[in-house]
Amino acid sequence: MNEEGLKFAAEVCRQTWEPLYRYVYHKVQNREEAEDITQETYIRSLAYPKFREIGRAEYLAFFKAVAANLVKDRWRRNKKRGIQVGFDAAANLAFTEDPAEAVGERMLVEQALKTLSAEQRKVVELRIIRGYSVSETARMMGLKAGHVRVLQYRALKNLAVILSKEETSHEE
Amino acid sequence: MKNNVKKLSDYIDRLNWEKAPGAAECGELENLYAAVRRVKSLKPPVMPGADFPDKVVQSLARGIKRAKSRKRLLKSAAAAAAVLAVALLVYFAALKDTNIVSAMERAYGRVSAYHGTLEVVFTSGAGERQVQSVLDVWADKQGRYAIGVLEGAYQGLMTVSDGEKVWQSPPGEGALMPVFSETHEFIFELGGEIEALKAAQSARVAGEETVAGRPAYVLEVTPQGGLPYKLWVDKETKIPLQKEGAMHNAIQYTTRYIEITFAESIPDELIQVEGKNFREADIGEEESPAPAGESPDEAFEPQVRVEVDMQAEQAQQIAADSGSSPWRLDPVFTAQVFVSLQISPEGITGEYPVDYEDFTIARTDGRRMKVQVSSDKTEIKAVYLERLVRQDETGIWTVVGYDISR
Repeated sequence: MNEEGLKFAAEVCRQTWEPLYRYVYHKVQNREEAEDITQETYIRSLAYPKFREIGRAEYLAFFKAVAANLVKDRWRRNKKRGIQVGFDAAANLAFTEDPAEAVGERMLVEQALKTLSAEQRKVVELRIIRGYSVSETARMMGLKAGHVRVLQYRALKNLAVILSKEETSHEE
Repeated sequence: MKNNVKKLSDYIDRLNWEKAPGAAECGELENLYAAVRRVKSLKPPVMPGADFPDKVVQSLARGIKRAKSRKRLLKSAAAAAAVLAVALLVYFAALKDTNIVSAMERAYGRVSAYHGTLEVVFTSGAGERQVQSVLDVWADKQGRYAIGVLEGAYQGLMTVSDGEKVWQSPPGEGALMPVFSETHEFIFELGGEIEALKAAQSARVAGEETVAGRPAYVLEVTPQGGLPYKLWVDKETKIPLQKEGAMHNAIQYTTRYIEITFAESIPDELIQVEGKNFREADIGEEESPAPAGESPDEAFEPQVRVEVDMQAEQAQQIAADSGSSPWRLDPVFTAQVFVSLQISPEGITGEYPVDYEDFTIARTDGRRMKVQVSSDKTEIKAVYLERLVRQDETGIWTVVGYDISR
């Protein structure tokens, strides 16, 4: 990449990295992967020969579409090898992020949590939302570590079912 | 199902540590992992460091260049091999320059305090593993610590030190507990491990493995005295995560941080002992009262005396001092081994015939101890132990007698 190209890339990156990182983090929920995928998104997108044909206002949407593909690829890596970034599809994708959708998703999850038993809700809150370890959670709840693991497994199984049901009813 | 319960728990741990968790191996896990991510999304994202945009720009400069010149680089296998050779040379030169021990020292230099869950595991000669205790450890560089026993014989016991004095808070009302080496001077203090490594006769990187989900270097360490041991050092943070002693008398001892985080300091409320059920630990004076009508000496008088070979015990103490047979510092475990050997005099293979949980400390004065046995697999109802060689928390316990049911 020549100096002019690098300057352009640096400018695009500085303007878009934060919303892109937040978008990726929302999907993967860990900093390590969010950093890797954000970085990889820029490397792949800016090496795409037709990148300059995309309108400036569409850069972020393009990056998000590429990042979404990279995330999906990571999740299916065990089943299938090879990365399918799908640049042309990304370039044609009018990627818009609806803030109402994000609020809706939050409400959906909060609602689903309320349907769990008090004990299951507590274990999910301590382990995932507050980030405590199994042993710390066990101590706080007066349970054995093994019990906490089984409780969180059952809670998440219930949550997965509830969330998928709610999604289906939303789509209908 | 059991496997997925553990995998799910590990997945949550990885996300809590902000680390890449790996892909789901089946449809059920895929759904569970997705539910975990959706719940975690209720929290705000953890943002990268301030230098992240610069890092991205640097990687862009390298990455795009690499993508465009890939064909040129791969024109000949010889060129590729040369690149690899140079990379390896640079890697090893860097290792030799910085060397793992000084890298660890530098890394620990940046730590003010840490909080971890320490697991103490015994492995028998047959390869059976048993978690002996789980400790919640807070420690700082001023020598202060707060340790809670989460699992094991002393469950619920809290030990706090301000760097000079030690206080303990036993679980329940008024029950006396001995000052136990694993909590008084807990056995995997990071600064101490690095100091021991610096003083060692030799230490070499023998390989790489994963400990508690963290990639780690495996160091083989030969101390100035005592038996060699292995130390697992986190590749990223250069902090020791696990220590494994040599197999000795068919018992191996492993301590590992199943999780560890770094903090500015130990929370004040954990170090604060005033107004709580803490008492200063003083091994020499701490004595549990004998039951009414029984003199303190009678309380430690066994029905059957066991002959002790003092020369052998002195050798065992030296071995324990050099990190070998640390189980001899645990009176309950010493009692368990003794009772197990009475049942299987030919030696223990596999699980111990009597569970660790069947042993409880009935009485101690710091130097002597009576351990109650509640198991129908043995006629022994109590084991009496003494610190014969050294009467402080570094002294090994020796079985001096036992009671049997009539």
